[in-house]
Order: sequence, then C-alpha cells, then structure tokens
Amino acid sequence: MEIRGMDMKKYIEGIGKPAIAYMCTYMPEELVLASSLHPVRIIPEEKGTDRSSAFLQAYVCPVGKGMLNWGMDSLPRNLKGVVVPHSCDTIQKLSDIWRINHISGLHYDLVLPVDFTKQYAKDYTMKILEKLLEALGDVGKAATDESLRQAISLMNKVRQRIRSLNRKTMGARQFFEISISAMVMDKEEFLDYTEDIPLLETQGKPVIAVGNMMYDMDVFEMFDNVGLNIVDDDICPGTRYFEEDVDEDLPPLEAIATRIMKRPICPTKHAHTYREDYILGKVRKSSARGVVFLYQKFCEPHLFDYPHIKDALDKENIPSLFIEIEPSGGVSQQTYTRLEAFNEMLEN
Amino acid sequence: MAERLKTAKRLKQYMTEYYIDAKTARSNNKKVGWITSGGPVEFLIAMDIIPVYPENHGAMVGATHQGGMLCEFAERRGFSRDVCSYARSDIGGLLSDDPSKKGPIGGLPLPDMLVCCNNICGTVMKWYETVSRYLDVPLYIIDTPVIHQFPIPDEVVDYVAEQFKGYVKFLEEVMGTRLDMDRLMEVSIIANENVEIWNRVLRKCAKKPAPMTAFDAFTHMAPIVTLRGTKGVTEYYEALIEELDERIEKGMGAVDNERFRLLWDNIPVWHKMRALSNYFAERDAALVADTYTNAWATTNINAEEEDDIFRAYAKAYTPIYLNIGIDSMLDTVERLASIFNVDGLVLHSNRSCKPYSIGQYDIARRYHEDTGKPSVIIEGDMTDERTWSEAQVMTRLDAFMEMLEANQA
Repeated sequence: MEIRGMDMKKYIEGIGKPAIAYMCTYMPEELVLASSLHPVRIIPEEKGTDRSSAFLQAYVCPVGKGMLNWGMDSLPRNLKGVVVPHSCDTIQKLSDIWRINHISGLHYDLVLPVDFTKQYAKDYTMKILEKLLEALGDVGKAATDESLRQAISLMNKVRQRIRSLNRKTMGARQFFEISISAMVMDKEEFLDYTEDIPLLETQGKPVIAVGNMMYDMDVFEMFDNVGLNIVDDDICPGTRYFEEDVDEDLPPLEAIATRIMKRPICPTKHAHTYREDYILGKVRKSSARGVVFLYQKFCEPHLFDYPHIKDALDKENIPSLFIEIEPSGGVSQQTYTRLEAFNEMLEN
Repeated sequence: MAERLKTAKRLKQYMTEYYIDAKTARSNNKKVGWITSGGPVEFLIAMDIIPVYPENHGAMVGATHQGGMLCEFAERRGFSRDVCSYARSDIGGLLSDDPSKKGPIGGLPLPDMLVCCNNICGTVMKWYETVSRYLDVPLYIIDTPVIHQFPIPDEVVDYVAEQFKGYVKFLEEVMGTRLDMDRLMEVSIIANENVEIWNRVLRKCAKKPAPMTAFDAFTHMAPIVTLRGTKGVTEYYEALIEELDERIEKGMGAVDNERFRLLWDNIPVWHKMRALSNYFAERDAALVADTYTNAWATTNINAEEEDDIFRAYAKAYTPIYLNIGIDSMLDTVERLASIFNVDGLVLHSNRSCKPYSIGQYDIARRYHEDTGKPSVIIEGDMTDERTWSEAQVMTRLDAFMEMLEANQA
C-alpha cells in the first residue's frame, strides 16, 4: 500500500523525524509522540523477496512473515527502533528473532497483561508504560506532562476523525486506506489530509468484518466490487485501532492504561464471551445483514474464537461467511465467487 | 536395542492408580482440577484437589493414534486444523457423544475447576476458555509475562505474585475451605525434591553409553508433570535411578552400540515414538537429552528463602523454558548439549506448538556457528498423525545421519 502516492518507507523517511516502528494496535502511540518521535505501524509490503522463510516456518501467519520481510528489507534511515506489544505467540517469537538478528536499534517488548479486568493488571500496565516512556525518551526527547497531554489530544483527534467517516456510504478500500494511513502518517498531516477528503460513495449491503490484521487493499476492494459495505468491524486496521479515546482529564499514563483496557479486546486476551456479545452488539447497532470473517491464515487466537462467534450468530439467524487469506496473499477467484454468492444470499 | 526399563511396569501401575483416583473422585468426595502442564500444581495438591492434565491426555491420545479421530469432532464444530492438536483432540473428546470415541481412557474425569497458566503458550488460555464454556466450570488464569531478557523485572514479580494470591482465593471459593499455608510450604518443599530427583534421573544420560534415551524420559516424565508435590514421585524416581545405576555399572546402554549422541528439541511426535526410537537405535544413535523433559527439572520454588511465598512462586513459574527469549532458549540447548556431550540436534518443528517451534531456525544456525555441529529440523505434529509426511521426514533424517557418519569418519 502506498501513502499519498508514495512508497511507505520513503514516506517515513520524508517525515524527517526519528521514527519508531510497532507491530500491534495495542501500541500506545501517544508515548512515542510525546517523546518527539514518529510512530509507524509495520505494514507488510505485497511485493519483494521472501527472506522470512530462513527464520520462520511455513505455518507462520503471513502477517508475521510480512513484518519480518519489512524489517529485513532496507529500513527507513530515520527508523530508530521497534516496540513490540505482546499479543500472540507468533509475535512474541518474532520479536526475539528481530532482536537477536539486530534488525533495528531500540528493541522494546511491551508485555501487556492478558486479563484487563483486575486492578493489579492496571497497576502493572502503568508501570510498564512508564518504563517504555523512559526508553523512548532515551531515543527521542524525555516526555513531559505537557507533551503527553498534547499527544493524547492529537491521537484522540485522529481516532475521532476516522470514526467520523460515514462507513454506510463509503467503500471499504478507501476507508481502510485511510485508517491504515493514520498508523503510518504524521498525525497532523493525516488530520489535514482527511479534513476535506472526497469520499467515494458506494451503495452496498451492510456487513461487518471480523478478523485480524488485513492490509491487502485487494481484499477490501473485493467487497466494493461485489457490492458489500463494511459498515463496522472488529479487525486490527479497523475499530481495534480507533475505537475508544484516552480520557484527557485523567493523569496521562493512567488515562492511556485505561484506554488499553477499555478498547475492543482482541482474541489474544482473556475475555470469555465478550467477543461474541461485542460482535452481536455491532450487528444490531449497524443493522448489518451479515458478518464476514476475514482471517489471515494460521491465526490461532482468532480460529479459537470463530466457532463460538459463529454459534452466537447462527442462534440469531445472522448469516456469516468464513474467508481465509492464503499465505500467498491476494484474492483468489474462489474467494471472490464465495463473497459474491454470500452477497446474493443476503436480503436486500 | 536394550530391554525396556523394568521400572516402566511400576510406572504403568502408578499412573493407572492415579487415573483411577481421578476417575472416581466424585464418589470419594474429592474434586478434580484441570491444570496446564506448566501450571503451579502445588496449590491443588495442598488443597487435596486431584490435578488432571489435558496435555498428558493429549500425549496418550497421540501415542495411541487417536489424535486425528478426536480432532475431527472439534473440526466438525468449526475448529480449524491450524489450531493446536492437544486442544483440538481434547475439545473433540468432550464433544464426542460416542463413549467409545472419547480417547484412550474413555475421556478425562471432568473438572470442577480449571487452572490455566500461560507460561507455556497463549494457546492454553483459548483452549481453557473453550472448556470452561462447554463444561460451565470456573476458570482461573495465571498470566506470566514473557521474559524476553533477564533479569525478571520487579513489576512482573509483583504482578504475578498478586495473581497467586488470587489463585488461593479462587481455590478457596471453589472448595469452600481455607488453604493451609503450612501445608503449601510442605508441598513446595516436596515439589523441589521431586524436581531435583527428576534432574538427577535425566543427568544419568550424561554417561556414555546413556542408560536410557529421551524416548524413555518422555514416558517416565508423567509423575513429575502430573504428581509433582507428592512424595510418591521421589520414591518412584529413586527406583528408576537404581535401575539406571545398575545399567551404568554394567556399561549397558539404551542403544546397543551407541556411536552418536543427540539432543531432541520440542514436544515428542507422540504417534511416532516407537518408529523414531527404532530409527535412531538402528543407526547407533541415542537421544540422550531433550529440552522438553528438562523443563520440569529446573523449576525451583524458593519458598523458604523468600519472605513472601507468592513472590517465590512468581519467580519460579514465570521464567520457564517456553516463556523466555530465543537466545535464552539457545543457552539452555547449548548447556544441555555440553553436559550430555551431544553430536547434534534433532529439532521437531511442531505445527501445533508455535512458541516451541518458531525460533528453531535461529537456534539451529547459532548452535552450528558456536559448536560446528549439525542439526536437523523435521516437521510434524505432536498429536495429529494426519500431518506426518513420512518420506519428507525420513529423507531429512537420512541426510542428517549421513552427515554424522561423515563427521565421525
């Protein structure tokens, strides 16, 4: 994917500021911004040589492989390090491989709790955020209360901007291009860029996408072409990134920790029946006609949740479709045909 | 190949009695707790709860070639074949409504509670959530942050220690009785003795020829995993050590003409234990050590030295083999390789266990750089026999053995 018509890595270099890469939406970008650094989510490229196979087995998900390839290809000159919020087992191991092969400068593992309901989990989260902030300060500038508050305010504006887009009438491709751009672009520039952005209107049947990190724009374009509008979602480049703001009235670190605990919970965390309730709630609220499970291959946490969410949808007579993107990436004709058939099956 | 260890008969009896106790728990007014293999079982023992290990059951399922059959029950319910086969076969057994198709012992005794410690993987959390949902039993999760680099940060110890306090509260609520802290201390001390003697068992294989192989260790590990914290474990391993010492004294190796000494990495391919054991033995190769059984030979609970027993448990259960960085895992591999004087590594790239398998390419590469010795990586799955590619594995193993022959020539 390109950012404003530019290769993503070139775009990052163009920002000039020292940059910090990260691997998951649990990343508190506010801490990076407050340290005068530029946060950038690693978005795997759809081209290039596969160097990851010398390090990762064939049964590792395309996201893990893609991120490692991103790191092993030439890096933006201003990239100063990587922060890895611990989510799944694959990311955990990928982090080690990244570190022991000295891919980038600062290497920081942000090992967040798996159960966000306990006070001691919040205490622990605040402590590790504080330590991360110190480490970032060594690379950029030491954050102050003021710089943290400014960063929080800026990130809230970014999230609010994405949420303000009318997904009922815009295509999935454009929407996710915008949300992913927010993870890569300079935040102020993003706000300027999206202020009056012309939205490409579509009139598809409303559906919800549920899944993991999806970055191949062909996948989203498939929805546009078939005639489906993704009006809401539970995927990494979607609501998991931009739902829930940071409370600007609380002390900054506490506020950021609180957002981490309140934002949509991903399947790598302990949440019992939360996810099916959450997704059913989204279907009801958006009047979606169906749900499309959109998974990158080999994603175990999601695959564990699938039967439960599917059961819950079936009980409510909500149609759903399971799509798995193969490691080779892209959209196969078979996938396209299945989505077309699903569209035809949905009530108008 | 040498005869089977005589102690194996006693092991069979020992484990049968354990499973009978677990299966008859309800009629004896006892409660059953399912617990993950890296979980702190000492608390269950101290509260007189019978611990049951679905992973141990997964091993039995694999060894009896029932993995594929049980996994299919879960797959029909929507669980992908890319989900861990221990979990799939366990869930499959629960979902099966055919009593003859619930596993080698007719299914596990059902739990009154579930205890899941994620120090071995994130998979167990999802697995136990599913079991909790299907069986409607309470679940307690102990979250042990991965220690990518040492030392263990203080905030991690504080965080995990708090969860151990919560663990006690959880058990007390389920049982309706209080935990006797003196009893926990007693069990902790016994658990340390168990671990120490298991370590002594494994170290016997440092002798050349090794009196047993990793294939024996995979079988004889059952007590240290399932009954840790009880005196019977120490008694059992004392008997095993006696037999191993006899073999050492006689110069009797588990492999008749031991020429190659190898280290196994990862969970065994349970459904290929005999075939792989024979393969190596026929080529005069003994798997003298492994990272898997060694994981139960190192956990030491400094309950007496620490002021706070919960902090002692946090420090013991957080940095276990699968919860540390790949470089720390490599250190363990190289330490074991040196102690056991091995000629190479056999790494099982296990589709069902990503935390164990991802990083093996680096481990093999770095081991070779550091020692000049070779490795082979074979792809398989611990329990699901349907994924095994005999020709591919044998081709790789043959090439590896040829390399060892050439190195020795």
